[in-house]
Amino acid sequence: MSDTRKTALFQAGGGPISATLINGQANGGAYAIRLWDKNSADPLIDLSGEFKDDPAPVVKLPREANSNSINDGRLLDAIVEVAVLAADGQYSVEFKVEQDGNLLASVSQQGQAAGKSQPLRPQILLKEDAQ
Amino acid sequence: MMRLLTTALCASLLVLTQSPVQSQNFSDSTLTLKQLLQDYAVPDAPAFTILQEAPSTILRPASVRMLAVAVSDFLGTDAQVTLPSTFALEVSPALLIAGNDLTLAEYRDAPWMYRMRVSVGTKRENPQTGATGLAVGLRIPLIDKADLRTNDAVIDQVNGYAMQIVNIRKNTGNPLQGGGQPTPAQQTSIDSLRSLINTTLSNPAGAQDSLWNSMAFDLAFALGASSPDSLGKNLQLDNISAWATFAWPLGSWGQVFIAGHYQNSRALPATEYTSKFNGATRFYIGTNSVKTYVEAQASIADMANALLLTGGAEVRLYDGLWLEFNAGADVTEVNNATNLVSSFRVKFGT
Repeated sequence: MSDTRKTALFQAGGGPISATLINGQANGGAYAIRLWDKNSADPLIDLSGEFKDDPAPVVKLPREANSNSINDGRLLDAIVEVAVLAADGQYSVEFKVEQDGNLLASVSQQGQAAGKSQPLRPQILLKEDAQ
Repeated sequence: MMRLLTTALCASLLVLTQSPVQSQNFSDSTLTLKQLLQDYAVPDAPAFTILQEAPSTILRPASVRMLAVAVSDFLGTDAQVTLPSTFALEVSPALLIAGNDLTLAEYRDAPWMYRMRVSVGTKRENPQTGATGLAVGLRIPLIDKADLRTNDAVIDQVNGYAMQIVNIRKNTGNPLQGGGQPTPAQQTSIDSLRSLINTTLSNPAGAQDSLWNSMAFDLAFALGASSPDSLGKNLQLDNISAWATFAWPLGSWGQVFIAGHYQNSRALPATEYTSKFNGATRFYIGTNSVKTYVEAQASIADMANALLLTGGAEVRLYDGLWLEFNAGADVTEVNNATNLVSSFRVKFGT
């Protein structure tokens, strides 16, 4: 299983933060996008689904009093199981976090699967930009 | 026969050395990538077909491949094996352009666009003078029941297995609290589900043999031109062709083609074109890896009508490497002559 974690610096006073999961190479499979807080045993957000006819899944992060500060230190966690339909075995998954149209962080996992099922787990840790 | 076998062996080695297929370790499966590729017969590229004076003008429909190569005419005038005189390359431009970002939903919205293939080909028409033939072709598979990406039943089944795996992986705790790794019992369940996905999508004995003769409908167009030299100068259009081929399955053991081919061509330096329409049917019996066929083709032309009766075989030698040969009789109205015809091709696709 391939895990990759990056950090996204967000603006507390900026617009809403969103995360998008793209399963490329026209592959199938299933996913869960979850938002974790270090003080909770259960995820704050849990969006699951399959890759077929729906557009790439997007989650919007919670805000409090028009501020994103509550997301500081939280983790966006994508559990992905790609069903490789590409005849050449190629898979490509991108998990990205955006705010106000700006890309804050992107985790891309690509390669050639030896089997027809490829597990991936891209993660993005959220940090409030102190500047 | 020895000459044929020698030619086949040399051609196979030539193509194999240019076609590395990498396999990687994958803890969940003993299957290698080579076993998992959907290895249906490589289709004829329109640009390849228009350059050849092949006895059959049926353009065989087949599932989309990102890249396919075909070569032929290995024998020189002295019966020695030579570099192939005809070479064609076929690509799927929409697949190449969309690349990594193409989602399954986008593909399913316009599958014909991603199945569409463009081919280019060259032929050394006269080694002494350097005369060269060039061609470009376009193929649009409108129906392809062998395409797994538009197969709802298969996708729903493997997505269901994938969802079960995701649900198991979700029960591994908070990664910020040290969780995220499955227990041995969970891993066993995950491995079993991945094996089911592998089997469903790639069962070499099952999937290929059940899909090789699926229903398909292809349209194709090609333009051919000739140049008196090897640099392609003074290129002159001399061939315009269009094909339509419909393939229908016969149980799990056979397939029938109904095909039409219109050609408007001229023999340079002549300025006037002549038209020809071919109607053909081909009947396959066999499996994905080895199949034989018989074919009947009627040709209605400005110059003379003709009837072609041939038989042949397609054999998969190794992964995407295929051999095809056929032979038969060509009966024309001109002097009521009967000519024996044959062809031999090597095809490779990824």
